Amino acid sequence: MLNLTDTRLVFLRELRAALRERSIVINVVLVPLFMYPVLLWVAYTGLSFVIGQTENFTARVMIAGGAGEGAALVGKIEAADRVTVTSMEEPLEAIRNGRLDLLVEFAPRDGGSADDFEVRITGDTSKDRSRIARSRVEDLVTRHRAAYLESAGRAGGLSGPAYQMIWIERENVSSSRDMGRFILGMAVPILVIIMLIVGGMYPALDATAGERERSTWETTLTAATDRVNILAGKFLYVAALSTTAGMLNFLAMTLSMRTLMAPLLGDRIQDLSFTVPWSAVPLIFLVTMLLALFVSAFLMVVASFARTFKDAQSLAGPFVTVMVLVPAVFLQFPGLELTTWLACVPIINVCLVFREALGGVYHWPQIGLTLVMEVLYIWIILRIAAAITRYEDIMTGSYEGGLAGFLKNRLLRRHPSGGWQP
Amino acid sequence: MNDPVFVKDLTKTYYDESRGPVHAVREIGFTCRPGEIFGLLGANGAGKTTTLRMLTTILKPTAGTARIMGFDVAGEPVEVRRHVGFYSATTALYPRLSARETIEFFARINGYSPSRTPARVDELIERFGVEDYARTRIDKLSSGMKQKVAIARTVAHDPPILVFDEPTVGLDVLNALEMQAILAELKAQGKTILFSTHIMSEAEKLCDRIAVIHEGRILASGTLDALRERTGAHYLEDVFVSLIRESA
Repeated sequence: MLNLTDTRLVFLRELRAALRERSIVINVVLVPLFMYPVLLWVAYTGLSFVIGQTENFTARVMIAGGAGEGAALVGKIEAADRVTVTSMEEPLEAIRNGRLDLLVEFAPRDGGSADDFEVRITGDTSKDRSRIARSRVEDLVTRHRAAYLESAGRAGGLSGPAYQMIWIERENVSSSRDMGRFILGMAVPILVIIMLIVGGMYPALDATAGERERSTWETTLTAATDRVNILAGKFLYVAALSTTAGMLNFLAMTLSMRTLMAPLLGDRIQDLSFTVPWSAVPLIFLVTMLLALFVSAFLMVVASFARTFKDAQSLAGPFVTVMVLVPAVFLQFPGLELTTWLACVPIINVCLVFREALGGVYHWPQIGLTLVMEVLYIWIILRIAAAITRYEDIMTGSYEGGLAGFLKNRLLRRHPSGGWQP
Repeated sequence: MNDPVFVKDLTKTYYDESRGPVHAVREIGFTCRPGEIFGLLGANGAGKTTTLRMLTTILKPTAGTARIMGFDVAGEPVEVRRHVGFYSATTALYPRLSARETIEFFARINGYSPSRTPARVDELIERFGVEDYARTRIDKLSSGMKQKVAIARTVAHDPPILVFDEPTVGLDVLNALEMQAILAELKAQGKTILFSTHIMSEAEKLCDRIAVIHEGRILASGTLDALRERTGAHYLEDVFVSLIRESA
């Protein structure tokens, strides 16, 4: 039976010690508050610089042929901004080795008039410069054709609307707030979850393998309280720090998003409003906390098989990488929504609930399923943790195997070492 | 059965993945009387630490019975820990807490009255002479200071039974003498002390009764005079060697 007084004592003891450890304070408070906002600002500023450099370069284009109506188009290409027309002996070779960006060839169509010609554009799509040069030239060709058709239509007695036949009008019903929330939803959930995992990792390893390495684990085991109170106090401490790291990062990212995006969006930033709907905050907090409990329990179970902090880092490292990379990659798929199946996938489900809540979208049945599944996963891991505490060789640090060996040889089979007292 | 420490047929068998079952302690039995210092004397690897770890519920016995103040170590571990203070060279202190916080934590978690805890902490800080360092982090203290804080945290909840596992290992002469003086003082306060050592002179000097343990078995136990009488040797060292040869 859980004794809340003893659990609280262990929790406060861990928390007090943690707040005096520089690396924990850095990982749980300073990094979530400052590192990602600063890193993103630097990245976006660098990106906008690179984009500016790319957009402003002058494309080197070689033109072959071009008579009749084609000559007018050649003139437009020659006169275009950021395009210079040049001539080469071996244009295809020059494109391949990067000395030329594009070859534009004008050839009359078979049996056509002098004005009836085709434009063949040759470039190298593996090179940014060539792709951008092609886009610029294609744009000039398209505009020239539109102007020619309009003029020919007029000459034939057709008005502009008549020869166009189909007109496209674009309208965006999203408000500046909607667009801001969309951008927040794309960036913030995955960063918050990374911070939550990173923020929970150090305390989880420190509270388990770290204690063993410092020889304070046996001291803790002499305390006159049920082991479950010690484990609960430690677990809640790790989860609290993990949640804190996640929520601090959420706060920092939301407050600084306008500044972060400014270098990338330029004047368009004025049209965006980065606000979080108040109705989403309780749900975001709830799923973040559940994920913190899940991650904390998982990391503590993994670290309980390590004898030193370094061992624990090696053991937990691959799991942490997977926990961070999988949702980061998965969330890049366009149009991804919280479906019933995805609500069952840990971490990704929380990311999607988080993202949709930021956009004011609530798929309540799937959100309910996400909450149930998160609680189920936490329960499963805590059951494994409870099973681990029955084995004194693991508790005292003399167990030689790892988590996989434990699950295979002890949980699934009856082991000669038996169990331990609660 | 009214003895503070009662041990009967206590056995501990480890399971080693490569070696199979390892018998660390085999059917040992002894009792400690109120207010006495009872010594477990044995060479390294004799089973002393395993025995004390079972009595303090860190390890679970494979077989046999052990009772501390009437509480069964296997069935009532929390009650056992509430009545025992365990000191060992392997039980380190939390490096990021201060001496005061450490003593306070162990007093509270071991069931000492919350209202009386501050006075108890002050009393122990004064008794062990760590007033000037009471608010200093443990990792900033000298090893002598750490030793004092470790003893203070062991007795923080004022348990009737104290278990000291090789308490002078790694200490210099002055600190070892200080430790011996503290044990004598605790005995004078009426505590029952169970104490393990491999240092003959220490056992001879401090213990009211001694159990000689070898390869997981108790070869003999009693007062020093009784052991002398049984073996015909005078010095404890000779008594010890004689008992081991007798068992071989």
